[in-house]
Amino acid sequence: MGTGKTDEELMLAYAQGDALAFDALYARTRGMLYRFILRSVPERAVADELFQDTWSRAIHARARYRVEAKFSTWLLQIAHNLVVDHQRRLRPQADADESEHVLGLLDVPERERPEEVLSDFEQRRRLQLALEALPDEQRNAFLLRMESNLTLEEIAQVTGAGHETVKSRLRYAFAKIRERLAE
Amino acid sequence: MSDIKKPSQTTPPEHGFDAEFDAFLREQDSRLAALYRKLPHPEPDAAIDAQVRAQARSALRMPNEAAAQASRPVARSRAQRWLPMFGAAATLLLVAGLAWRLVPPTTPPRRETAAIADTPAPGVAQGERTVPMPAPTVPPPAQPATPPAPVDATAQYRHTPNTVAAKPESSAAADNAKTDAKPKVGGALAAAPKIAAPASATPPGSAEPTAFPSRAVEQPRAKSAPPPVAATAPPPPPAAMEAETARSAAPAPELRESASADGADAMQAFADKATAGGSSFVVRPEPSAPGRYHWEIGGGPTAAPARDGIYPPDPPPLAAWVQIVRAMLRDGHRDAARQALADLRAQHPDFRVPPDLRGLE
Repeated sequence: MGTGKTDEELMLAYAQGDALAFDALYARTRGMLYRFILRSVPERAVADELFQDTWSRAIHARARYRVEAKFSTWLLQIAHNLVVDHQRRLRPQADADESEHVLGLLDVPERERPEEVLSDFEQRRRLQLALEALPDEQRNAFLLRMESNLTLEEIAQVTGAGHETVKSRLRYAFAKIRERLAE
Repeated sequence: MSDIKKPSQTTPPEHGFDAEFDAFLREQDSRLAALYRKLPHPEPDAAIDAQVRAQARSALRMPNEAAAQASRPVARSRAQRWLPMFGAAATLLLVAGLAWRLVPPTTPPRRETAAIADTPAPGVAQGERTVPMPAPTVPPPAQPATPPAPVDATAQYRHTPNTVAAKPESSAAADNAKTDAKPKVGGALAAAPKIAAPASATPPGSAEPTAFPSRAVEQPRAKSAPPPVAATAPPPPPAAMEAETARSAAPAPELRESASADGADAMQAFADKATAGGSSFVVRPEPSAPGRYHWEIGGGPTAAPARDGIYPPDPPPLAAWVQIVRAMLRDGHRDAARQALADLRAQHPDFRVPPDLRGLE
């Protein structure tokens, strides 16, 4: 089954015709990919469609896969492009005023921070709402960081944005989530 | 949540150093990551898993799919490259077709005239219609070599009744000639009915002249003995002769088609002259001398021929001469026909050769 192989080795094996390698690779990455998509697009049906589309594109592009980055990064890049295309058709981006307002909330006194006062259940619920309320680019960066544990460079590679842009998006995302948790 | 109380959190992130930001991210991660991990962990349905795995396996059964996909854009671009050429070719074809349809044809009017000439006029038999026409601009030849006959020279040329049939709206002289001829039907002219008015010109009770045109129509291609070319029939000719007369009178199809409108007009004038005096001529092969033709000119009211002879060498009147040339052609004596036409041109320099005989010149 190739369980001892890396994701990249499994993908290369699949490109050579090893179907079992694909099964192993799929089992490793399906949850991470699915959650990233599902938390990027709230509709489950859309998430299912994008999930399948992501894998379909990865399967057809197997011959062109080169080990120049982590397989998860390559796979998330495909998914991210599909998600962004979908998001662009649905809702506009957050404007700058809203972002500036959120930035001002970064220096909230510790004792006033919501994490201190809200129960876990309420915090999870608010986190979910906060994620849904984030602008798409910020949410995508946040999910890539939290769900897939990508570094800034990897997020920049997946999203096609610059390093500083990714930092800014993450900073705004954290600030807004904190704001929602403090409500 | 103990890490929330770290002093580093109070550092404004706007200072923008990567180390500070990383610390900020780590601090945020530590708090938010713990909260994030408490969120539900949805996974795709088993059906989706099965579909993806099946797709992965089916893709392996098509090893050249990737190459095909890679070549597909090239093929598409190649097809797109040909599209303007196809469009230009189609446009060119369309323009050429339109131009071909819009250019006024040069020959169809002549064809229409020939078609009109071929169309039987109401009340006129086909045998009459196909009697060939002499040249249009033939002046009334004086015939100085021949003694003046009871029938004047111009009257010989007035006998081309097919001209009347082909051009029913021709000159008033022709109409007057026909009109004048009708009152004479009951008189001496009844013995020599004109082909131009076969039914009305036939005497009452005389079946033969009435049947002559229709029989000629019924047997237009009768192959009998070499027929005479009879423009009129003072004595009722034998049936075979009549049929052959009609056949010989009809020019060959290709020659008939070449008849022109101006030729028809001129022939009409000639017919007017030929029929005015009620004269007629008969051309028939000389049985004893192949290639020679006996001709005779009717004297109009008189039954006896006013003049006759055998050509060659006896020069016939112009209309009979033309008929002899045609008869020679019809009977296969092409050289004799060419010589006859040359003789005719020598005798009548102003004679304009009919279209059907121009090939002989």
